[in-house]
Amino acid sequence: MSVTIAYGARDPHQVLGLDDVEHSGPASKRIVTGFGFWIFLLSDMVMFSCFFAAFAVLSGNTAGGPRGSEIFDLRNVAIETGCLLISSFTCGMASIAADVRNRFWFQVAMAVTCVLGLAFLFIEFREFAGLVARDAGPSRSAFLSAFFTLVGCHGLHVSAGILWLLTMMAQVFAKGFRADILRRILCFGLFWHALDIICVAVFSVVYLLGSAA
Amino acid sequence: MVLATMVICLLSFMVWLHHFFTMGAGADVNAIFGIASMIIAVPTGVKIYNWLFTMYGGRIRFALPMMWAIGFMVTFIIGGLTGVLLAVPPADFLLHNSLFLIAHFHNVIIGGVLFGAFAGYTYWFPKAFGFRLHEGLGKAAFWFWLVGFYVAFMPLYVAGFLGMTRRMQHYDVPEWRPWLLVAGAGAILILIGIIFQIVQLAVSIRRREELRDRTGDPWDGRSLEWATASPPPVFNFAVLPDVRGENAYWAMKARAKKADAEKSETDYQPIEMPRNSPTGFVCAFFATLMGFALIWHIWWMVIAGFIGAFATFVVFAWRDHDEYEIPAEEVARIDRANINERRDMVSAAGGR
Repeated sequence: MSVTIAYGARDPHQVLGLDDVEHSGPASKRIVTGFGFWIFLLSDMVMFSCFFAAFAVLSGNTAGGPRGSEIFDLRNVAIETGCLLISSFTCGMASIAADVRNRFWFQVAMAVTCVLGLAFLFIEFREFAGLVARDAGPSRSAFLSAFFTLVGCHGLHVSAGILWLLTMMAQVFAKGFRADILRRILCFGLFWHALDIICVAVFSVVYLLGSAA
Repeated sequence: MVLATMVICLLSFMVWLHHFFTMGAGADVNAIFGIASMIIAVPTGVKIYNWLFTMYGGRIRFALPMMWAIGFMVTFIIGGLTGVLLAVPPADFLLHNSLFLIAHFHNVIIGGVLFGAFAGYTYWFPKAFGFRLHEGLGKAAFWFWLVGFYVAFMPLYVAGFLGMTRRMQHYDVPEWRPWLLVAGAGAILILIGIIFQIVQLAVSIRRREELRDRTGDPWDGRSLEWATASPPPVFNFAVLPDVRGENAYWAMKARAKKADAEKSETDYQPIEMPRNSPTGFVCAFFATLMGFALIWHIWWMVIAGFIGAFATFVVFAWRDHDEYEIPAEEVARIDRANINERRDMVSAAGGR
């Protein structure tokens, strides 16, 4: 790499004809796929940053409606976040099982990840339903609009992730650890861990700071 | 160039109030936004010099894309200068919502966006479709467009100074009339230019055999897209090009000339290609259905659209053969055909 850069700087228009420079060709498919998925994840992070920024700006605009400290149940949210954190660990176990080509432990770890993800979704859905029932839905105030958009968007990501997870379980069951399926498992792992990072940010920025306010 | 673009990117977020200088925000606010708007001219000037320096010391051929590009630069500079005038808040109190403003932003949009886009359209058309656009008709279109633009919009600057505001349904000021008549004549010239462009496209399609770009390098280009055939084969490049700087293709040509086309055999390898798939289109159809249903709360259609999109995705993911291989002989055949076209062209031109 450094050789290439030095070459370009010495002869930017490539007219000297120094063509005996070593280079190592295109990267493997695993690298290319992983890199592409990182770029997708970064774009997802950009979107979540916008939602976080909107929430931070609007969190005080309650329009006479409930404030964060009045509606957040920290115990519930802690259990919810715990579920997702543990699921990230089991997702990591699934990746290890895929690396050593162990179908049984892969399916077990993915199933546990799925159950934990569903538990997270169930708790979140119950929280949302409870809020709407006591007239604290997304149309109540700017604060609640931002809250439902941010947290709901994360919930939608988890739902899509569970569908993806089930698809990967079915694919490994039907086709085994083929190279392209292993690449998909790699991407799924990246996606799930990224959701976990966002969940930690939601827990800190929305719930912890919101309860203190 | 990149730095200038990014600086404009950043500054452009901080100029929006220049649309509302007359709103009454006060002298301080107007001054800040006025200065921010004027500062944009600095990185833009850097870009203009950049474009000029790409021509400096070169041998300029006035082919159609170059004509559009120069028309773009000149017109865009004038539009930018009148923009700096408008960015002065006291002047804006006089010119706000007047035809001066109209002339300014058309100067920028037509000169800066449209002419540039036409340059690109003419330049890359042969790469995309395999034949060039008719040069003569294109030049006619260019001159009608350029002259028509100046005849149509320069009088509007004057009409703006004479106090004419925009979006008028009728006017009863006799002093404006001659200027507007001239502008109308300019609009007709532009219309003729547009007609020439449509005719140019139609004629070029009909005469595509004689306009065919056989070598893939109709402009004697410098960058890599001209190193492959027009339109490019599905695999783009038979052998992955070895890029070590700007103007990679120019370097390849220079080296080939120096080695006098030494007959070293290229080592062609089979190329793996993804299979074509309508998945993206089908998924987008179901997703659109779902979006429409979500807007109008048609819940059964939401579910149908979602299941359709997901099923399409799973079917796509379930394929056992998602790639096919183009054998090395086929790659070699396609690439050699193109290389022979290029050799013929060089020897026909007297072996440059």
